[in-house]
Amino acid sequence: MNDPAEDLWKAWADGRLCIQNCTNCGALQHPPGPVCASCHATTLELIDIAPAGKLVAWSTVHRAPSPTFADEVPYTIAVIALDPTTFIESRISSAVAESDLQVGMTVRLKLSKIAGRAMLVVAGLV
Amino acid sequence: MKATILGAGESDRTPQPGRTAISMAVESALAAISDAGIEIGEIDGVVTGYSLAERHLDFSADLSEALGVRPLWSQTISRSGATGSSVVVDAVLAVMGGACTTALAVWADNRVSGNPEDMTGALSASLNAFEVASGPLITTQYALIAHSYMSRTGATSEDLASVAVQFRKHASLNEAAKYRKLITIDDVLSSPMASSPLHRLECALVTDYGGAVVVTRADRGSTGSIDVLGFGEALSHSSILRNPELFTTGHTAAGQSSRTAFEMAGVGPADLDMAQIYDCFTITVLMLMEDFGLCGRGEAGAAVRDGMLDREGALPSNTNGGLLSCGSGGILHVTEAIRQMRGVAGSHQLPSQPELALVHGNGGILGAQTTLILGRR
Repeated sequence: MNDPAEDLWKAWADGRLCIQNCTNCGALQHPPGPVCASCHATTLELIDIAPAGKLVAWSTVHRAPSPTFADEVPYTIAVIALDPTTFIESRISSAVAESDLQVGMTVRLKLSKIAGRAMLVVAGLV
Repeated sequence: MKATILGAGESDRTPQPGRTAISMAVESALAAISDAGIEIGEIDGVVTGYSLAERHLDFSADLSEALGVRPLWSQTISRSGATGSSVVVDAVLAVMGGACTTALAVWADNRVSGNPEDMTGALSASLNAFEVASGPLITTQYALIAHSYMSRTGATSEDLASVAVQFRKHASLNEAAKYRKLITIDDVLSSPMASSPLHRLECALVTDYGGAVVVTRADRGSTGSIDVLGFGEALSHSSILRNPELFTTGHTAAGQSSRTAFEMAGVGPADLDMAQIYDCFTITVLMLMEDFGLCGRGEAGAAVRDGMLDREGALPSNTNGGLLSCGSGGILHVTEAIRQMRGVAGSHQLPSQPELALVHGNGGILGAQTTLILGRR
């Protein structure tokens, strides 16, 4: 069995905008894992998704957790809902003003590198 | 058959070069054994928490050897912040199950005197790689939940700050608390932002700590014993992204753990006369209060501002100053409860010795929950 986390990191690095999906019950799942938390099937694959989500919550980080991020503070991290039960955590582009953010608004996602690693990030507001 | 707590002890928490986690475990264990009025040789069970700062393959083995005991039952557990309450649950289960008769439950760590670089790595390992990649602090994970709670309930930064102000007031009376100078809501809100909306004074302290209790069969207790009337545990997630309820209803698994504990004890939230609530961040206390049923959903901030948790309020809580002002380690919530109920809390003893108390540990990012209901004989 492949490591589901490695599979997703690799897909993102290859430029594929996708997330883990259970082919048995259809639930999306993130972070990815070996078993579907909704139906407990192990039939999990990556599925392409639309580049949009809803803004759930955000926080601006003022002190870097490690030297990796020291040059970047302050930056804003958000929880974004891909559907009502599937959430990702990611960076909001510094081009987006925090004052323009509203809970529940639709945001545009794209793949972009954070500290050298391809991630789904919030590129802008819709 | 129920279990009872015979005594409790804490180590000194002043950092010193070379201070080890084991030395603080020993110091708190000996204090608890002395408080219990038993001999070291009566200990036949040992359960300990983990150390982040010091490597032990089995902390309970190293503590047992240091104390010169050969227990019939021993284990080292790791349940992140909930460990302090969970070592008590495990000791109770071992005693009730007959694996041993008198168990020592201990948690100690040299988080300041030990190697802080190792500790930073150990803490970041507690988050999922898909969370870590965008650069959150542990505080950020709680801050995201706090942001959601505030936008959903209308709670304000002043509501959250009132938790830190309240517990600092309690710490001001406790000679062993790290920070004792009274603070105001403005002080909290003007302290540096750690990860919005949480300010530095809304975050738990990092200190050295050691705490221990002695648990035995209820029939071996005496008038000064504190009975474990109920306990409950629940685990909802490791990654906050896997528990949508944190961002929708705001419910945590503490609802389940406290229901289990209340039902076992045959009491409810209105019967309590003291609580020791895991306060790693101000938001944690507000959400847990609502999960316990101490107030309605979204009403915890107002309840704290109205003095519910004050030592002269309806439910005196975190009477030592808590993680926010006294010191690290969820085991201190347990030892403080025992001291108050036994009437030996000294300068910060409550005017009315509590008879029924709730102690609650929270671990991870609101994932692991442990509730104890304790009763004075």
